[in-house]
Amino acid sequence: MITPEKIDEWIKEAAERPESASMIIQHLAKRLRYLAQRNEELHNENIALMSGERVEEYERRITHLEYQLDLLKRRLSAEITLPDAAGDPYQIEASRPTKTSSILVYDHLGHILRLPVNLEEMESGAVLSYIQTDIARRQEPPGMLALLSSDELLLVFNSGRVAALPVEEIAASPAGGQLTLDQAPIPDEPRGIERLACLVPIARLPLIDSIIQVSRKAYAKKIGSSMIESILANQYIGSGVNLPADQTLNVILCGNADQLILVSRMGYLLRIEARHVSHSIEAAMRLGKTDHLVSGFLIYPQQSVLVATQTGKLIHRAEDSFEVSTTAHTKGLPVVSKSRREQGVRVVGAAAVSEDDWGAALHKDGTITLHSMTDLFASGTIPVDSELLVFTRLPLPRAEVRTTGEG
Amino acid sequence: MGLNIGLDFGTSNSGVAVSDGERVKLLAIDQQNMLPEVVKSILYIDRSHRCTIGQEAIELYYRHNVNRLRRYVKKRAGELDFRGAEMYYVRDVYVYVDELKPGRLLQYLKTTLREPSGPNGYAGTQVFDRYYEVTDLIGAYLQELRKRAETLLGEPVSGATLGRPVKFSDDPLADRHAEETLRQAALQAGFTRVDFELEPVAAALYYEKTLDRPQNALIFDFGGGTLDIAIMHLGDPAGRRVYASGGIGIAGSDFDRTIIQKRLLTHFGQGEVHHQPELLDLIQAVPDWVALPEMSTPLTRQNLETAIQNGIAPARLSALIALIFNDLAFSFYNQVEAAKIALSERGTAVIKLQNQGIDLWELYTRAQFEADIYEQRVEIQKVLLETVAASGLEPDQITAVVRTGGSSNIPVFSAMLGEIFGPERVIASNTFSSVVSGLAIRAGSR
Repeated sequence: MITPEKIDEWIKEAAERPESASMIIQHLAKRLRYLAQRNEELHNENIALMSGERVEEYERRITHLEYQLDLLKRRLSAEITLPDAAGDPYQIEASRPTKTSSILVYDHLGHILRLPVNLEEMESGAVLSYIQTDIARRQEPPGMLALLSSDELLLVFNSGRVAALPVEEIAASPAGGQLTLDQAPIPDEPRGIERLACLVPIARLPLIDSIIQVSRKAYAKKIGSSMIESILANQYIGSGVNLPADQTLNVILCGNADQLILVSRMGYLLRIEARHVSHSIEAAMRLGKTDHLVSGFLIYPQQSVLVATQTGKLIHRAEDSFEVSTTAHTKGLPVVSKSRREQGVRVVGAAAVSEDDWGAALHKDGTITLHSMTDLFASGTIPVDSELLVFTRLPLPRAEVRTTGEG
Repeated sequence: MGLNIGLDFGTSNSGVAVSDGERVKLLAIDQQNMLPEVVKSILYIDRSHRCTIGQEAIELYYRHNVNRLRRYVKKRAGELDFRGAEMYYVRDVYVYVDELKPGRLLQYLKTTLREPSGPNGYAGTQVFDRYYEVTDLIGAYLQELRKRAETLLGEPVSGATLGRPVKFSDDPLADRHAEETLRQAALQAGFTRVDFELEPVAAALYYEKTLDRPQNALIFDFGGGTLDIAIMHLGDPAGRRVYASGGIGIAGSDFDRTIIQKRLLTHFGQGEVHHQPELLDLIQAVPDWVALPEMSTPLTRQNLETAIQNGIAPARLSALIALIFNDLAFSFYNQVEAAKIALSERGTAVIKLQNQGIDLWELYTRAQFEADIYEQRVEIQKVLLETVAASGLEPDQITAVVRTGGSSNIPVFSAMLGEIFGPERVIASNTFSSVVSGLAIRAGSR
């Protein structure tokens, strides 16, 4: 604040010590330059406000924040009553947590079968459902994802297009019935030659630092959380691939300190740190010509890695049995022995699990079975009549706070 | 046997130096301070009774207190006896204690030596679950100094020559008691050999060495916390005599406070906020660096935000919020001190603080500074003349005026000494370190 009294005092200083005059001018000139610059910034801001540009920007931000709030609400399974003028401030009314998870079986044509799982009535080894024999005829096995019914889903297509929708918007298929994947709902039909590459649960989006898009040929790209708003608004994440025959395997939501595990069909496993993943599409792992990734997931302390092969054999490894790789020029650690690999044993799924988790398996004959990890750890196998196609972890409400699902 | 050091334990600032007989080395005892050779005489004791000193103590105090939770509980402090003509009753006294307080900050430890223990004296203080006597408090501070000195020197330190004022107290018994308390504290700090030298003598030691014949000298030791004046007969160690000594609790830190009070409070709402006592109290607390972290409570923030919403000095009060809650107070006080120091060299300086919510810019001149500290100048001149009068000497009988300490560099005080004693008699000694250098020479010669 420059008052007339202060100006008089500066003049007095200059009169008493003439050498101070030039310094006063220099200080004032510097300040004037700064204020002029600041004035221009404020002027620009004013124009943006008057033209409505700023209003639009804030509206976009509010929409995004509302969307994130909605995601969080689903995650917490709670209805939050925001304060109003009359009501008690910050009154939080929590409803009963959702007790159902859903298993989604999907194919590249966009068919998604939703099978609700009542977590209170689960029995280890029980058959959840049976999908008619069209599975066996397919050249490419379907994908399977287990997630909470209250979650939000991101459909990722091989073209790079994405679409978000709440899981509960997909019509649930009747339990125990004879289902056909070809007749399952198509919530968002692939356009032209587009294929549905994967499904990703995204309710944790507001809580993460970045997302990592991993392709079947082990290429990875990290995207900062600041880009998420634009990805959802434009419905485009990018193909995430460098090779023409490749496609997105999974999109993993992670924090800066998280560690990622990639598992290939031939039985190689690689552990990398999320912060070391490049922002451009780069190879994260060296795969053989006939190999491709089947799973990509985060791992935390207290968890272990469970790898399932098509024969139903399970390979269980402690979390600390894999060192973190610092280079992409490695094919990872073999979890399947060379002799077994030569005999044709292949990995169909892998997940980071703990003892109180559950797993779901899709068999080649179309059955979907549920298994408690305690049983699986004890027996080391999933009983199989024909062949196992997919294995995944079944998240439970509340306990599911970190992992983002498995490919 | 370890090294001997010179240790200047001051009211506001302290210092440590060592001498090899030829050269004096000042130790950079507080790396975080603007002048690393000076350490603030501040002790911070946290809940686990870990002691920190100097700038580290201040930073810890800020870190522990800004935006922290508080929980006040009522505790019985004692009782008061009321005696009237025909009545007598006892009343319990309760105080509200913040039970989440993370630590205690203690400053001006040296002044506790002036007040002998007894019914009206200062014997010590309770810090959480432990009672600290004066020797414990000073001992803890000196111990930290010793440890730092040992780290810097890479050798054990076992002896110290400490400075002491000409008089701790006018009462000879209390004076002896104060010196004994300081000695005990030094022994408690781990020094095995402790002796004392008068601070003005230490300050004049360099000068005294240059004398070829005895003379009367006035030592004007003007630092961060106090002004100490001594009029002595120097140049003849056998016939050394202190004619008079005096002083006043005005120095550098008071000038910083004055600058803030007179020039910078307007940036935080002074003059625009009226009839709002709770807001005015907050604004008035800005010059007090100890009080400011205590203000960082949710209630304070709520009061300030409500005032801003009501249109009361929004920009100024936003700046106040930023100062209190964005941990800017520290940079703010440093800026003020830096500007004050700069004004000893040139005619103008800028006090600037730019951060989120705050854009403080103040062009400050030497003429303004001199006008702002006019009252202090008058008081200092008065004390100076009184000390000269008490010595029984006339100003022209004082051959030399040795000025030392950071604040003695302020031109208006050099001019004051020049006017009274004649400019040719005013000699600048090692501004920031003459006392500690003298103590180191004394320690080295033992």
